[in-house]
Amino acid sequence: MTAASQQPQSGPEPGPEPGPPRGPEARALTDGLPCAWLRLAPDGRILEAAAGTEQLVGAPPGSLAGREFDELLTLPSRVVYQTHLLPLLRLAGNTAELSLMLRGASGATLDVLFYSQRRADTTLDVLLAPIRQRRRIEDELVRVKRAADQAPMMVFQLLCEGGQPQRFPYASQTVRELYGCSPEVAAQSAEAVLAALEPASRERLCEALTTAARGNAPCRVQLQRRAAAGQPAAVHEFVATPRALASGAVLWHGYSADVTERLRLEREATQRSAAEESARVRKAFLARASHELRTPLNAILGFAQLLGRDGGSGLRPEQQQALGVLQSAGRHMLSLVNRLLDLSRAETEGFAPTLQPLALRPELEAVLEAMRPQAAERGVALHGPAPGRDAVVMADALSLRQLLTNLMSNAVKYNRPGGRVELDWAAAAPGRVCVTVADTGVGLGAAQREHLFEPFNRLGAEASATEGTGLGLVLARQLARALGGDIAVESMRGVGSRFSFELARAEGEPASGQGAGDAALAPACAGTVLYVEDNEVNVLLMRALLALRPGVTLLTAGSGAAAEALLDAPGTPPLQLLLLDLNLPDTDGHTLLQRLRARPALAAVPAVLVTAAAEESIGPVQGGVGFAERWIKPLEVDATLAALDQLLAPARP
Amino acid sequence: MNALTRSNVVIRGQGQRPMVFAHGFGCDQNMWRFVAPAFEASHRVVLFDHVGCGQSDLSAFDEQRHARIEGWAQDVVDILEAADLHDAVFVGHSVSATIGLLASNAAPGRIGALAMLCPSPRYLNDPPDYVGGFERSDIDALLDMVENNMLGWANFLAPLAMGADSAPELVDELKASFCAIDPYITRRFAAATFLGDNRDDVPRLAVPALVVEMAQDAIAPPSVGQWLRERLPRARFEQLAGSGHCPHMTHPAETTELLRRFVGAGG
Repeated sequence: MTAASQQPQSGPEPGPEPGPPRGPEARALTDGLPCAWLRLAPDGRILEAAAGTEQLVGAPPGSLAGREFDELLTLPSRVVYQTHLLPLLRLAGNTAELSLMLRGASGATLDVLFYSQRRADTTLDVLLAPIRQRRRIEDELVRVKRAADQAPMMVFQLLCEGGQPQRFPYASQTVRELYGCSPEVAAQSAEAVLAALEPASRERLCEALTTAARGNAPCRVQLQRRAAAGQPAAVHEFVATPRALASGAVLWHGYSADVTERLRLEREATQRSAAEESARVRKAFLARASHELRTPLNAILGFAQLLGRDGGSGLRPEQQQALGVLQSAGRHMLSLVNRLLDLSRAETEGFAPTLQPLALRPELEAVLEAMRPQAAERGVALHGPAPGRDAVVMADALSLRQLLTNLMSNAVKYNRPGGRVELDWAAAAPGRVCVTVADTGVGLGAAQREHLFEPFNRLGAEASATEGTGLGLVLARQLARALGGDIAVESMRGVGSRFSFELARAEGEPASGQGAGDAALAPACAGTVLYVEDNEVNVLLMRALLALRPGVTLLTAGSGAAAEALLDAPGTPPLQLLLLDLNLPDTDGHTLLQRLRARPALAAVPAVLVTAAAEESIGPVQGGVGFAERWIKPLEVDATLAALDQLLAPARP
Repeated sequence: MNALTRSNVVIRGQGQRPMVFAHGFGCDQNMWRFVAPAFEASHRVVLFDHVGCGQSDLSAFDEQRHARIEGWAQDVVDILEAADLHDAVFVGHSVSATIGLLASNAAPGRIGALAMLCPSPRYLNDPPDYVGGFERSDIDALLDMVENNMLGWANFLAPLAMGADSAPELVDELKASFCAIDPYITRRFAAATFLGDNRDDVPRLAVPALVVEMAQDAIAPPSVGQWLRERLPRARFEQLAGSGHCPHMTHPAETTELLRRFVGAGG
């Protein structure tokens, strides 16, 4: 029966034929019992009341008839009576177990349950049953219910039959928030809850419940809730334990909670640690790679320098030229290796070159000169700044040249035949200088400009014949930022691009060129040196190098054990210097030094750590004198000799 | 969502001028069955259930919107607009008298006359000048009672309403038909109703009004009627002898007659 189908009525319909209790018999029946009986008129007036009722409310005998029933109630109960119970009595007549509160005689209150039945004459029999124990249970229930309803998860009881969820006999109020239905609807059918899930999740839930029930084990499964009006999709964690019923059905108790946010945090943490791990591995790889490259470079540059000493007097002119190529190629490679390290350090720690006053013009010209062969090959004309101007800027020469080389190289590579590249500078904001590289190449579209600084993104050039790594601009931007500026790009398709960056003007004078003093003129030194090194090429180089100091005797050992054996051997002369390689087959330089310091004869002998790992630090050695110096491979012949001379300086008389 | 479906709107009758009957807290549109049919010959009779009551769509309950009586009034404005009603006579009982007042102020032209049965713009006392009849502790006890009766109201009140031996289908039908209220929403409706204060809205009423009072009403005491008389000088006040808060249920004939006169007078 819906409201729409109800027939209009002029008054309350007669109720079913009333049964007992009724009339005076009922009075007799309830007198002396802990409950009360009254008869009410349809409008709530008391027609008659049993003596028990009078006792309950502390009214004198016979005083209740004629009064309004709701006068016996506390104010809150009057509201419930007037707004809900009375309409219900008028509409249905028969009610049961509504909880109300009576006002007792001395201000005390009494909880009662209200039962009513309508007679044929439309008057109502009312029974009031005091509740004390039940009231306590009810209070406890409400307390538990409030706790469950306030929990940010749905606490439930779920009935499954034949492996299929049937209904939620109990669901806390959070079911509204999580699944958009009321506990009453969920109690009728589980469908309202299940319909909110993605179909695949719904299937997964049924499977998980079936499997868990079979093993009598708890069920824990993550489910996707579909996006609903005003609510994004979410992930719910569904956790329940089964209880098999005699009927074969399974009753589950558990909870379902929205874990979307928790999963997002976990995912982010995983991604972060993966990124950190990846950065660590890359750094370790670069350090290792640079070490591996430095070792052979040590030999190439070392021997080339030895060959070239004294102007390469023993060499024919073409051999001298070839030696020059060997040396310059080796140095270039060394600078690349160093750059590789710088970049890896920049990524992990932030790259900070030392900025010092530097004349700009010579740097620009040097880069222009270096680019000429490549430009000529592609028929691109290079133009430098107009003569006669210069500025002193704060920069690091190596970084600036690398930056300019990267930009110029791109400008030439992505130009058209017969095009041009202009390298120029101009005053910018006060105290700033702007350096520009402009080309007449194909130019960049807006979309390309957006992805310009993404590593390994070649913006479509990968399909062309032009070689490249997609790293040049990434490195260039890093360098420009390290120099205190950033790279700006203007570009127009078919017209060309202009890359620029700013530098700060220097206050002082440019630093003078590196004057590498000639250490060969230092007074010759003498002594016995132990070099512990497992790489034979390095030993060979050191031997050749020390041959320039005839007063020095070189002893070598290929491992820590070999060195100790040598020291234990009778006839080994006293040592004046220890050269220890960092990586030895059986130990490392630091540990070896610590062991050697235990020998009284070696407690104070100067020691040098020889390493290809530019980052290796030389801290103090436990229980003894640490390394005095660190020599980085590849060894510079002159610098090494100078250091050697100092360490083996003859004691002043 | 369609406001007509949401609020289970039922439209009957042959007349032109619409008459909207709004039930109060605690019941549903069935409350009007002794009064509303009398107007079907002359009016378009519009009945509806507030959200959480009767056959309304429970999912339409919105914690924020329905936290204040203004949200419930907005529901009524939605209904008036969806049914395209103009110049309606709005008959509101108890809190729905206030809801009608707010809707009338919010949507001029939709409501042409307002009949208020046992209204109160504020249930709480506001000393020293206003006596609403309730202390805060009364309201808290009421909210607790609503919550306690959740056990009864929704779940085991109905089974015995027809007698313990009734067939379950009949019980369900009854539960769905008479004063069915969702406990969760009802508790919030009660808070919005009994803790609200709409006294400032009363003098803004711009349409003819009828106020029907009971001589003894524990929920809307005479002091509230006096307060209203001072703020609504042009309204017609009628008092029915007797006690209670639901004249349309306890005094249907007199209530119908008062409404008929109000409507007939061009109210």
